Amino acid sequence: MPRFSPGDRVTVLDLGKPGHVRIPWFIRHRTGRIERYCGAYPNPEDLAFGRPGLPAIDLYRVHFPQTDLWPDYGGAASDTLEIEVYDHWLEPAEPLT
Amino acid sequence: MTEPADKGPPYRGYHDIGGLPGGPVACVERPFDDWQKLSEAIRGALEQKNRTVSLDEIRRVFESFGEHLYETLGFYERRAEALTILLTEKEIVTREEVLARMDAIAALRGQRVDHAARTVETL
Repeated sequence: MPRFSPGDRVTVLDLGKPGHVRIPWFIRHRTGRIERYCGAYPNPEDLAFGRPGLPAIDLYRVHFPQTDLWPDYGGAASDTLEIEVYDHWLEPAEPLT
Repeated sequence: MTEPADKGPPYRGYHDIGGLPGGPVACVERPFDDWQKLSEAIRGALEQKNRTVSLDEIRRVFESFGEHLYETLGFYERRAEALTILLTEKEIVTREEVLARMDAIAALRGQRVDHAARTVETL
């Protein structure tokens, strides 16, 4: 059972792991919402060291407004970014008040 | 948007350049070089054969073999160099064997490889 559901607000962690990770710098510490669940896949961070990467890790597509990612964003306010993030890089965001 | 107050700027590896100024993009169509197709085919075969070398390993190597080398090499050169490093670490081939095979393939084509300069000249 995946930890998050579509619509859940999540914040991307900055795990500081060496090696190969698939979380670009500009989404770390940022809050978006789950767009969809993508399935579970072997952990690429372990595959990167020749290990099997099991158990598989849940992967989600996370949705961000571009204006939340880039302080000087010059495009339309409706522009978005969707990017796939593994479960262990996410934490539940504080609910908006 | 500003950084969260209690956290410093996020970690960024030298390869992680999304969103940074990159200068103008040269939009030039160029065909694949033969060596690019060949080295990618070898890489793919090694992945399919019991994940002897995975693409994630290739990425881990070129994302940690140093910024200078990373910036010096092109896209397929990075992959080929990382593949050579991994095959050497796994004791599947030696670098000398890889270089010798490059020389042999070049000779068949009437070419000579200058490994130090990373160039190929036609004889």
